[in-house]
Amino acid sequence: MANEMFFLPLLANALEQKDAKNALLKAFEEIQARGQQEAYRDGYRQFQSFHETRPGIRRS
Amino acid sequence: MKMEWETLTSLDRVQRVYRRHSIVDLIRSIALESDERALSELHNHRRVFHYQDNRPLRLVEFIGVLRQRAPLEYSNAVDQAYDLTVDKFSHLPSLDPATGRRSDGRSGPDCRYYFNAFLDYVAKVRHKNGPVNPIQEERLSESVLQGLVCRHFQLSLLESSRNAQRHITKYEWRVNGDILRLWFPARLRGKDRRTWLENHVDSPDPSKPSERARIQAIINQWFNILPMPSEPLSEFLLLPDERPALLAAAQEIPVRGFAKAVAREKALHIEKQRPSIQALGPDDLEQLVLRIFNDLNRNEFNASKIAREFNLNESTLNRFAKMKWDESTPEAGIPDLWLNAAQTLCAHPLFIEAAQEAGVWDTVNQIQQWIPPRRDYHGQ
Repeated sequence: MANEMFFLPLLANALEQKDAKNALLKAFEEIQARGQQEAYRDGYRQFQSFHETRPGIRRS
Repeated sequence: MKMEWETLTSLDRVQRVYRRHSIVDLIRSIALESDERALSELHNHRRVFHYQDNRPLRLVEFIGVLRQRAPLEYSNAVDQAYDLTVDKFSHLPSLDPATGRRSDGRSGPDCRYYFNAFLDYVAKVRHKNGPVNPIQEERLSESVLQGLVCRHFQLSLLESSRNAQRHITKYEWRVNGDILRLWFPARLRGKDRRTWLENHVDSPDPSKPSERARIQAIINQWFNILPMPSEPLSEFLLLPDERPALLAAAQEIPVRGFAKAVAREKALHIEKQRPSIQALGPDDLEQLVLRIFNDLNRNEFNASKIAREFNLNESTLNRFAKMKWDESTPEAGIPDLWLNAAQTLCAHPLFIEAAQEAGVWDTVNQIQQWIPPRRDYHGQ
């Protein structure tokens, strides 16, 4: 179920590390690697669509 | 002996009065009346700062933790940044008996300036949010104060890093009507810098979001310059609209952790949520966000169960934090919590830097530009 949002804990945990930048770079690698697996394909698509959001009218 | 005892008792009595003051009251006394006792109370007795482990810390202890946790790239500047930040929040110029004014002739920080900024910001939030109870007000004050200290530690790091690299100066390279601001060794003169750039940088294009960083990296490598720390976020206290909240939340990530930073931000701005989420109240909303992140982390997210526990309709919870949304129209489909999480991430400078470096998030600069028109629920 949570595979669709698997990327968020990876990014959140990376940001809390002392060397956050390197931890983030590793997290991005991990996200891309998991994105190749069938179980994480939907989640990877959501990760990509995360940055496609733009300001606009929110659905009520 | 008796007189000494009476004096101590009197001091104790005064100190007890200060013990009952709220943070805002203490800071108002410091900023407007240069009250040294209020400053002492704030520094010595108020453990209102929290790092990840939640152990309550006093102001200087908290700055000490920020020093320990500073990124390695700042190692040559971190001690000076610590001293500077402590000064910013503790140095009160001494009283000149001749003029009755506070000025010790020392050029350096005056804590009243920083505490005035705190009061201005709290007043703005109060004006926007309307009346709150004393407990909420104290929590807001703690959060704003911690954000302000984090912000000034960041600025102190930048200032100290620049001090540590006095041999470099800024150069403005004009390309296609735009300006790229770059750091060069001071020994290289203006005309020579332009010539060097024309010979060493292929196809400069200032319209590209990461062009300045690309060119600066070429200069750094050639002249063996240590990288300058990332520019800090824009002035969080001076920005209009909702941006301060997102930037403040982003600044709290390394301190509180991502989930707590987002949860705290949502609770402080509960008026932006859909009515059914607002009905939870700030404390339960904060708990809800923490619960969602916690379950997500443990791969145990169950919408029905959480909705039941927080007395929410499941469809309300889905609009707030559905695991899978309609990817074909992310603008309409992305649930509120994930959207705010993305905005908070994109306000974090290290995240932006890493995303660009990894090449996984090419449009991250564009995201940063659209942070101001924040997208919570606005009642449409």
